[in-house]
Amino acid sequence: MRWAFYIVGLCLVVASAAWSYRVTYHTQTALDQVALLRSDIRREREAISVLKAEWAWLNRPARLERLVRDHGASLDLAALAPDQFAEISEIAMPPVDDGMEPVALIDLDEAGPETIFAPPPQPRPVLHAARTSQ
Amino acid sequence: MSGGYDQSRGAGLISLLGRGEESAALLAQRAENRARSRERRRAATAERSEWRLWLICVFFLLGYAALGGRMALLAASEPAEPRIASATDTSAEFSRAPITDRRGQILATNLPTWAIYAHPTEMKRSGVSPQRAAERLAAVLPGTDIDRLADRFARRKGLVWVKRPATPAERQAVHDLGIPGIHFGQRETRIYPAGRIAAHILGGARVGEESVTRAELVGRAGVERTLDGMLRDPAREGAPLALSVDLTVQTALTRVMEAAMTEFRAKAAAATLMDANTGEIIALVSLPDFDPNNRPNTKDPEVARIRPMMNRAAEGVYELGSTFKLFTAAQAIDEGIAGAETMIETKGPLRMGRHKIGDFHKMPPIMSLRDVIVESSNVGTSRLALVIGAERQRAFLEKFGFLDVTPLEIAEAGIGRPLLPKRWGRLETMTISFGHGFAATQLHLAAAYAALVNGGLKVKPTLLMGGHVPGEDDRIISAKTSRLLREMLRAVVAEEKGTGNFAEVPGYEVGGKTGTADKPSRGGYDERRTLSTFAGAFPMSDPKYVLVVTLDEAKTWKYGREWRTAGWTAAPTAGIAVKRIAPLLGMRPLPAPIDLGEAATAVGNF
Repeated sequence: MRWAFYIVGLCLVVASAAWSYRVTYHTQTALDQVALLRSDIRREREAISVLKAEWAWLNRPARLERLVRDHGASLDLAALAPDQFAEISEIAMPPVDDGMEPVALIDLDEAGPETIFAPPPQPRPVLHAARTSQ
Repeated sequence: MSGGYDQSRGAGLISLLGRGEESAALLAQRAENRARSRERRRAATAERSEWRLWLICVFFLLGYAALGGRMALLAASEPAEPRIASATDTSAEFSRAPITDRRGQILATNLPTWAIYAHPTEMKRSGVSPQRAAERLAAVLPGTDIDRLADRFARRKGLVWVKRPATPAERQAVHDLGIPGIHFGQRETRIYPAGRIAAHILGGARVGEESVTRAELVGRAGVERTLDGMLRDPAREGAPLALSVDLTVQTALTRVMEAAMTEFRAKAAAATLMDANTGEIIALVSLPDFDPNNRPNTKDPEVARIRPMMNRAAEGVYELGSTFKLFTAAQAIDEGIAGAETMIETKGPLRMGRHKIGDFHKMPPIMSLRDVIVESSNVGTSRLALVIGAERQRAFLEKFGFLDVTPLEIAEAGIGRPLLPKRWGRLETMTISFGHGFAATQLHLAAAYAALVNGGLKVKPTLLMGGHVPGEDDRIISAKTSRLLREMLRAVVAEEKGTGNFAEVPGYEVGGKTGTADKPSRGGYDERRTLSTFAGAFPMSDPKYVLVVTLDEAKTWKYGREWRTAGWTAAPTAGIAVKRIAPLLGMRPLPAPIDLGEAATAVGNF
């Protein structure tokens, strides 16, 4: 009876030692990973802040003004001015969409006084035809 | 022995039954036996306890050995942070927080740089000649004084700074030289990408306490100095600090003021643009300016002459001239002394002892209060001031914050203390009513005008985004008074006889008051050197922004004569500024009103 107890105990000790060994090394690896990640994050943060500074430096007013001076003519740039704003009421209303095709304008000079403009024959609308037959 | 024992045992039994003389021998035998067995037991016990003693000894020895070993281990090992404890917090040390404008554009941030230093003793130990080391360093670090560096390498025992701050490229170049005894320390350098623009707001930073491994950045002037604690607070975790300034508007206003300085041959210029309702500073310009990345040396005689570090908007106190008349009018209306249409005698000049108060040009003998403001009559406001009295005038100006420094978050604002008259008598009351004999900063004027036009609520000028929206507790004049003042200010610009009509920008309802103050010189005023101010707001129907523009010794040549009054210099500058700035602030102009004359004819024809 006693020897069984000893064997089971020994097995437990070996098993727990193995488990603890595993967990310890697992934790160590995880901590190494965390430290690595943290240093990566710090490096990335630093890089971001440097890039932001660089972006701000590239967008500094003096440089933008120089760029506008050099390229304003070719890009049609102009300073924002009050006359660039307009009220909606100042814009002509679009023609009401009544479902009809826009009528082509006739150049009367080209058509000449002799040419008589005749509209192309169109089929009678069905609804109208139905009403007249009643 | 056992045979003997058996014999004696039998003998003993016989003797027990028989005679008694044998019993003595038997007793002795017994005693001996007892003693022997006792001795045996004692020996066994001694052996056991000795073994126990040894066990305890070993136990304690092991214990002490373990303790000693641990102590030795602790003493010998390098100190290290417990790794698990720091797994959750971000141990990265945050440096000075960046500063951005209200749209998130960076105004100030840090760049990683290096400090290169040398340990001459280490160099000597490695057998490097100081002269040779200095020469090699100078080859990659331009601008290094070889002889001086070699001399310091040769003579000093401690630390020698080679270059700080050095760029990462320079650090790499020096690193590649591989000179023993040269070390690098991490540093940060504050940079201001916008350069001169907003220099007077930001101020600048310098290196404070410095060790080999790190150096701290300390604010030197402006916002950097006043909000130093906030910017360095580790609890911010490096989150940027947003100012109320708009970099685009600040740039536009700076350019307008620069152009005006050239156009009017002014010595200096300043402008403040403030949110009329919250007191947020949108732009603050002071010219001449400086580059905060490279602050000029104040000992330079040229720098000392033009004084670029002086903040002319928040620090310099000036007599504000006729812009002050509005406060006289405000008090008269608010305290029921006069209404906008009350007629005031303006026949001058007004004599007071040996002093004489007159007007810039001839005025009608009697004018309404509105016209006194529109045409800017010194005599008119002086008469009103006499009715108001010194005591009440002082109390009224105090309510607007004119008697103390402004609470703006820049170090310079604390220096801009208003200059009050030593004796606030009748004469002083009269001159103060039109802005002479009393000096304050442009910022004071902007904050006070904001209160005049925003419905009568006092605002606290601030550079922090958000500001403080004033409530009824901050009321200093009634909303009705504010409305009347707005109408007057609008008339000054809109009407032909008004002094500020060059500030008109169609669609933005600019309103404001001009002020021309002769600069004080020895024993009085010098009328050839003037300070022109325009203080106004737009749009006047519901003011959003207050703009104050000041030009120092501005003059212009028009219609065959020289003009130095603000109406000819500061007012047109303000007009150009509004035209440039208002669209940038996203304000749309009001559509031009229908010409009633034309419309009436059209109706008549119909």
